Amino acid sequence: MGQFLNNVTGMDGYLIFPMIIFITFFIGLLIWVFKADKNYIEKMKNLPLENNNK
Amino acid sequence: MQIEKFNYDNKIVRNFAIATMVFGVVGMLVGLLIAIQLYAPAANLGNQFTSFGRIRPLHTNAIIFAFVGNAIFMGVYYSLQRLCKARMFSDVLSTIHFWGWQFIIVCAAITLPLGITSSKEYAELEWPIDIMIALVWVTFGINMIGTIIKRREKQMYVAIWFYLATFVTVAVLHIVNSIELPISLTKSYMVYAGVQDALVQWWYGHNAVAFFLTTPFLGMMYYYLPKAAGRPVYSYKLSILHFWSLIFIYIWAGPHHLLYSSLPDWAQSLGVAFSIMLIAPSWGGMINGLLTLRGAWDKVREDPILKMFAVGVTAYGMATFEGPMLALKNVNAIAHFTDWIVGHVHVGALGWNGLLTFGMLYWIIPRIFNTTIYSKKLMNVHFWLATMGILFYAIPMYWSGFTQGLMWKEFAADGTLQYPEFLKITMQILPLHMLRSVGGLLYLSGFLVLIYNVVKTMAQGKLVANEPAEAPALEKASLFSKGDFWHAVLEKKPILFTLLAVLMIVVGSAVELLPTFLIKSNVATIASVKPYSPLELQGRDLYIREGCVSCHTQWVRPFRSETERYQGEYSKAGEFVYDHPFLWGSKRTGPDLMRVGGKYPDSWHYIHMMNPRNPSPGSIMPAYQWLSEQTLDISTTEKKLKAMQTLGVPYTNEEIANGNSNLTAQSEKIAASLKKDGIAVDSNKEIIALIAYLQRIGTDIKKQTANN
Repeated sequence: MGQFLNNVTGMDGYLIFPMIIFITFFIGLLIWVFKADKNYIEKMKNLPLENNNK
Repeated sequence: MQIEKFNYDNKIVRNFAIATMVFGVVGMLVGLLIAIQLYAPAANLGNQFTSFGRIRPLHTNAIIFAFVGNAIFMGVYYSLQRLCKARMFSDVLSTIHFWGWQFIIVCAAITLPLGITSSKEYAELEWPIDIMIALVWVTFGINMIGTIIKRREKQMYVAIWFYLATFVTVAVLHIVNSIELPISLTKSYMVYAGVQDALVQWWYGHNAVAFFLTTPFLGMMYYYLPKAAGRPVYSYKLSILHFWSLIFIYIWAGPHHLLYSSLPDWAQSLGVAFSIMLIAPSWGGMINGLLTLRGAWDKVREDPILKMFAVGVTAYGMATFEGPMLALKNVNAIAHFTDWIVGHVHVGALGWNGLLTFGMLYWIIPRIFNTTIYSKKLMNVHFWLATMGILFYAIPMYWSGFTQGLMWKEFAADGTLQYPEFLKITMQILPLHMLRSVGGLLYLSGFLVLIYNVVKTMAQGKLVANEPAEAPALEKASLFSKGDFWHAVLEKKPILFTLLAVLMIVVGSAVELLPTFLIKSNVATIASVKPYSPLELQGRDLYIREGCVSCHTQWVRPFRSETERYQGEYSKAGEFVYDHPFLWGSKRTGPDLMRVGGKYPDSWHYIHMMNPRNPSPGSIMPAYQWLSEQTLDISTTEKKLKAMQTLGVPYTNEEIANGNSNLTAQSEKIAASLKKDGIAVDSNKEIIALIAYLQRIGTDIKKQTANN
């Protein structure tokens, strides 16, 4: 890590790091979201509207 | 199940609504005034308290923190209570939050015209006010999280996620970007210098847009748009994706404000890459908003609130497509520093924040006053005034921006600049500035129509200060069941949710900021760059006080068109190592000043500052005659030098002890040089210090035998 940071000005590899974090995170998120329970999604969708106070 | 009875607090919503309207008028009026100053210098009103450099931050702060800020609190306090089926956590905290915020605004309105400023964009307020902001903001956070904890609704709806992210991120941004070393109650120095300060500032500045002007409004869009349309949000799944990717990506994009600067290349590339990626979640949100209206477009035609929401969300979509385009280096090369950027932010501010705020006011006020809107016709009039206002504002600014950007860069056939005189380009765009102020006037008139309509509505109804409601108590035991969707679990755990959101933004911030802080080699040292003399340091503080940075950059980009125009090398990171704070600026209403040192004689600067139209007929710069009347306060010299020493500027103790005698010697020299040119001015006047600073800027590198 020390060596890596010393050379950071010329280190394009540093950019790959955030990309990998994001892509991993995003794919995980995508999978979870598509596996989501339909009833739950329906319920959440209507949450603001079920309030009967106008 | 036991049904609990409780009351929603509508009074606090009403209070924030009134504050939104009052400060909206103030902010827009000041905006109109500074727009006029940009083609009629007489509109600076001949005194220091209303000159452009001092009241431009008053306009931006009033709009962002007073108008939009109060609108956020209005929208959040109304929707949060209903989404949680609970009254706000504490009426006392609500009251402290409301009055605390208004007090901060009043402090800002007093200190900024007095020239008490840190000069960092959208973070201009001095340290005592910064502390108040932090305290009041935390009060808001406690009140919000407290309400969420005592909610009667199992799940936190998507709007609340955005509110939570807003709270935690703004707190982190504000604190990190406000670490200053106080000299007195009204003056402090940033602990960061030069490139580091620039990076922290634009990490803050960009994310202030993200987490103050965007996320709370997205949260409110997810509540008020379905409410007004009477149908649920288009896709809840999309909103989950939208939320997490938006807060994750946004935080990285700040360096796109510093393209072609002396910020390390990798940081610039990082900013560009994430800015492009940002299109996806931003448009995901916009599409989710607009598609909520699918099948309800007949309603949109009838209902001015929905019209405002639809145009507002469209403006968001335009601005968030344009933003990433502006972050491309080739587009940025032309657009940066020009009116294009001003046009861009106003599509966001007038379109997205403004129209959503208006829609919310029209939606909330009749409901909490138990009545209907006074005049639907006036709402339509307002809609058209606002929409025309945006067009009359944005189109001239784009036109003007292209004109500036292209004329600055144009070369003649013989290889010299086609328009070497900066002023000529400025004069070319004045008619567009006039049109822009017409746009502003239209928009302000529309807002006045809103105020009339809302006040009339309030008068015909009666405030339901405590609105009765009932809901079944939330039993902790029933909260979690096996096999819950992971996000459903998260939505029941507000603290865990908040911590995850913090983790998201901290990862991005750390990758972006840390290397520049940890590695010395990021800032190449230049042996000939030395600290400012005491007089120059005082002059620099006057430059900060007068807000010169509002119109003048100190940042020559590595283009031939710029090194040619400004007759010197492009800016190097090592030149700024003693600059607490950095003064790179973001807008070139006037020319860059990075290489102005030594370019003109002292007398030219004197004559120019007293009346810019004397040496430069047609100039739109305000006159600064008070600088030759006011005596420089040298009682602060030693303190300032000492503070700089603490921050790592290599002043010796001897230099600090002799600060004022050095200062006097240098000022007498400048006064003598002015006298030689027939200008009699006392050496103790402020103008002398300012001239000393102007003559110093960017000159060290010329003496260099560089070791970078």
